Amino acid sequence: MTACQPVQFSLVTRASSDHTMELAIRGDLDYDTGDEFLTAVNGALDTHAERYGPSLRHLHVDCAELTAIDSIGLSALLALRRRTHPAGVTLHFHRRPVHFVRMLEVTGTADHLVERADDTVGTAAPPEDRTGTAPASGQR
Amino acid sequence: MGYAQRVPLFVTPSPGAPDSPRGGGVSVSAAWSDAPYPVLVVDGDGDVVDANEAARPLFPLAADAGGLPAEDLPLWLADAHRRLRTSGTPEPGAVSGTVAGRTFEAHPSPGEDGDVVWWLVENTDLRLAEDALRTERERTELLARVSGVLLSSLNVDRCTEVTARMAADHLADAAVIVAPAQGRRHPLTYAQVGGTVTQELTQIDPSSVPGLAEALQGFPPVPTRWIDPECLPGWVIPPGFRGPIGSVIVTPLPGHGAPAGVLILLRSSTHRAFTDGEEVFARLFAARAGAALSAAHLYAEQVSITATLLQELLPPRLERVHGVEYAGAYRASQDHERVGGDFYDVHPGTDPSKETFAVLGDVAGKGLEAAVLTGKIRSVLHALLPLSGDHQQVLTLLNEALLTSHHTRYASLVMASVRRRSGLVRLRLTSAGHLPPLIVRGDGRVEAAGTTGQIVGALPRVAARSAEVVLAPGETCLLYTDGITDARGGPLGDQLYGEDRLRRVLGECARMPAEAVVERVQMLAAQWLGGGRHDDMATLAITNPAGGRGALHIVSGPDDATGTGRGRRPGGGGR
Repeated sequence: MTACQPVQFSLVTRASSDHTMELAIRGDLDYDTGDEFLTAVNGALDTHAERYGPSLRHLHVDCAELTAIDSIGLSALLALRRRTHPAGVTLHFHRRPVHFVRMLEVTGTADHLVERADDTVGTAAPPEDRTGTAPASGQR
Repeated sequence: MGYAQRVPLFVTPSPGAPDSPRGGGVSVSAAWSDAPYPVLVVDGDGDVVDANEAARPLFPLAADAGGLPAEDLPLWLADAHRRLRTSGTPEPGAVSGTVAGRTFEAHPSPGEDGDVVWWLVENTDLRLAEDALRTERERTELLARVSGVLLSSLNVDRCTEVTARMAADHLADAAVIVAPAQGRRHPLTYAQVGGTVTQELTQIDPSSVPGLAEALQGFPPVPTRWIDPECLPGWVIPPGFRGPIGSVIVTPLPGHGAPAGVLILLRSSTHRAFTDGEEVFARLFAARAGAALSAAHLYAEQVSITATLLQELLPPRLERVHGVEYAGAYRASQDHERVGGDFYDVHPGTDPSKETFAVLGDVAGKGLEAAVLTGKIRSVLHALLPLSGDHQQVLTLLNEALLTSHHTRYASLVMASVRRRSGLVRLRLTSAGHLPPLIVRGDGRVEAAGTTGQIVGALPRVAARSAEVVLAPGETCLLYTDGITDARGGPLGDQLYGEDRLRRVLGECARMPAEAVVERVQMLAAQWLGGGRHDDMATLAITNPAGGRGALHIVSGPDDATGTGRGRRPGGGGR
């Protein structure tokens, strides 16, 4: 309908080690791709957990090629944070485009999204009552 | 090939015995008397003068009387014979017709003395097969047409009407459709060949027609021979149907799970009764019609459910409250939808000294799913009205009400508490993760209200900073959703409308009535979009009327039409 040719949405795992994982978002994160993003990122997290166990501490997301984000896109990021934070994984968003920065500002979610997670979760013997001791599975 | 020219035209009655062919030509006689096909020798006047063994069962007179007068020859053969005699040449293609209920093709060959030997080749089976094929083709075509016509409508009444008419036109003399009961009464649809279709709602006793009660429950049809037309109750006969009923078929219209009704086919006694084949076809017809009717019923049900839900979710009518103008406009992301993820509400203060609470918000997502969440938010906010003096508390309570474990669908919104005092409108504005409202000053300046805050429904705690704004007469505060600024379009089709363009448009809206401001903003954003995809777009303008309360009162007093927009639907321009 519109003249512009949108970039096909994709999520690429750039690198991963036992403590960190690097992802790159490409294209629009919006109403059409929000679910796709969550499925992909959950898949990446599950794969990591299978390989290294619950040792992930930092998830770096490169946003340089994030062409647009809408409320459903932000909702997907919040859902990701809801899974990672209790599991001791801190989110980092790098090379944020202006529109993404503006969206985080307006919605007041910037600090919440990248809030530092308790990185003792899962490594030392965790307290019994803490949820998210199994970062790969819970929270769905 | 002249037959006639060679022979004189006179009659020679056959005196000979049938088994001794006239003319004594042994070779000729041998040629046809034992032929496996019926053979007739017809003389110049059209009298049968001889026939072989195979022809005798068909033409009995040929055997005993030794001949058959011309008038007893089947008409089609006599005609062909006469034409052959006059023209002298056989007609192109064989002539054919019926003899004793069987069909034959007749081929002429020249005999002696001007006689013509007619060879009859039976094609009864071929004809029957062709007839059966034609009937099947017509039925298949009819079924295809039934499906085509019925699928083009999801209106129950229309589907029923079409079914009744087609059944009456193609299957019987008249048709009655008994729909499942609505309360105690059944909707009945009558149709007759070439007549109009009538529908009525009548209380009937299903057990008065054999098989009807069962068919209404979806049981298989009763064989037509079990139904005695004499015993039919009066309501089955379509109004104005002439002549006694000869035969009846009662067949269910199978639906999805539950029967969609029952089709009763009637044929008057002057016509032949229904055959087995027709009964089977009636069942096929009923299957198609039933599926279409059932789909229409389901659709009607969904539409009514949706309409009921929508009533609660539609944007409200806005009007002037305590000397302040409010106008809202809403355009759903899908043009055929009327609800979506944006919402606005205005809750008037109980008296002019009390604050009026206005809110505009945006739920993540689109369509009905989003609309349901907006309904929830609007209900919660309505319940929290007594606390609306403290926006932070309202946000905290709303956030707690919306936080769920299974999704992170959030909402952003702007709350405004509005009070007009001594000509000025004072606003307390609080943005919860929403775009800050824009203030249009009397001189055309546009400024953003200095309020920020966090979205509700996703974070464990929310904080917000409110802003106080004062509107002089002719000034407007515009609350809007990002559907406006994120509208993608323009000359190149891929540019965002953006806040700068919105500010420029608003600069021209100084001293305009609230309704004009929202209509202008929505219209320009829609133009920017062209035909492109878009999110929900909502705007809510809060305006301190330019003329002041007194002036406007005089204008709206004598002439109701120039009133304050009371009773007009908001957002009319946006749809």
